[in-house]
Amino acid sequence: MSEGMRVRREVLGDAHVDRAQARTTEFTADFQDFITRYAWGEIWTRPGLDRRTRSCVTLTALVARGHLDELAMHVRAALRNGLTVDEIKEVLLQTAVYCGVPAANSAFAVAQRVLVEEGVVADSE
Amino acid sequence: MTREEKYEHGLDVLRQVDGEAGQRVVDSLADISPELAHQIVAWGFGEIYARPGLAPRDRQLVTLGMLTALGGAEPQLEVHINAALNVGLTPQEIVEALLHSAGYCGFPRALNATFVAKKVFAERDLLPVEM
Repeated sequence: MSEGMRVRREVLGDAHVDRAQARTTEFTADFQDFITRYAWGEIWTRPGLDRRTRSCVTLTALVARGHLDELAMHVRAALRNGLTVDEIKEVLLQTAVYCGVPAANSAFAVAQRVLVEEGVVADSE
Repeated sequence: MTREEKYEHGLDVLRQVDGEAGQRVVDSLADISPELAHQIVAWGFGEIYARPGLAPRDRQLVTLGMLTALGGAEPQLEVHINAALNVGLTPQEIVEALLHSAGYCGFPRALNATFVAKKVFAERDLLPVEM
């Protein structure tokens, strides 16, 4: 297994990566290969920041650009990388100042849903 | 391909597309983040730009569209408007592409992009643009 695939699996989990690979088609194969080698193999494998810190940075970048589907995936990854629920909450609160309250509001809704699914946050009554 | 070969390959592509402007960006990163320069060259150019599936002029057109829509990427637009001219797009086509983008990302971003184009065209003595 390539280094990029190893890190991708460690961060996103085997279940997610297996699903992504099962969904890969002839049309999307080059892209799947590219993100594994580049984002995972070249960036996430670098020693300069620990995975917890990389997760913090990733979450804010995704909120800033409004990528909510990717945010859901990376909230799960953040838990896996050792961020606590309170730390995820603080990161998203911080985005309210720089990305605007609507962006943070959408991010909280996504994170709430994911954290409930992961069983680490209570659902509303 | 080794890391160094990947970089050299990307540098060849960068020179073909962006000419001196691309090299200046790479050089200006040397004392702050050579790794960012490496990734832009090795991955952006060595991998994506090097792919045969789109002609260089088409890659510049979609890049102009994205940089316009992103906003805040005016320095990069300057590089890529030069690149667009280098790979054979005309000033008229560039202006038309930026006009087309106005409908999708709004007048402010189309204006910002058009003023970057005006600066580049002025430097290359391509004004006025006759439509």
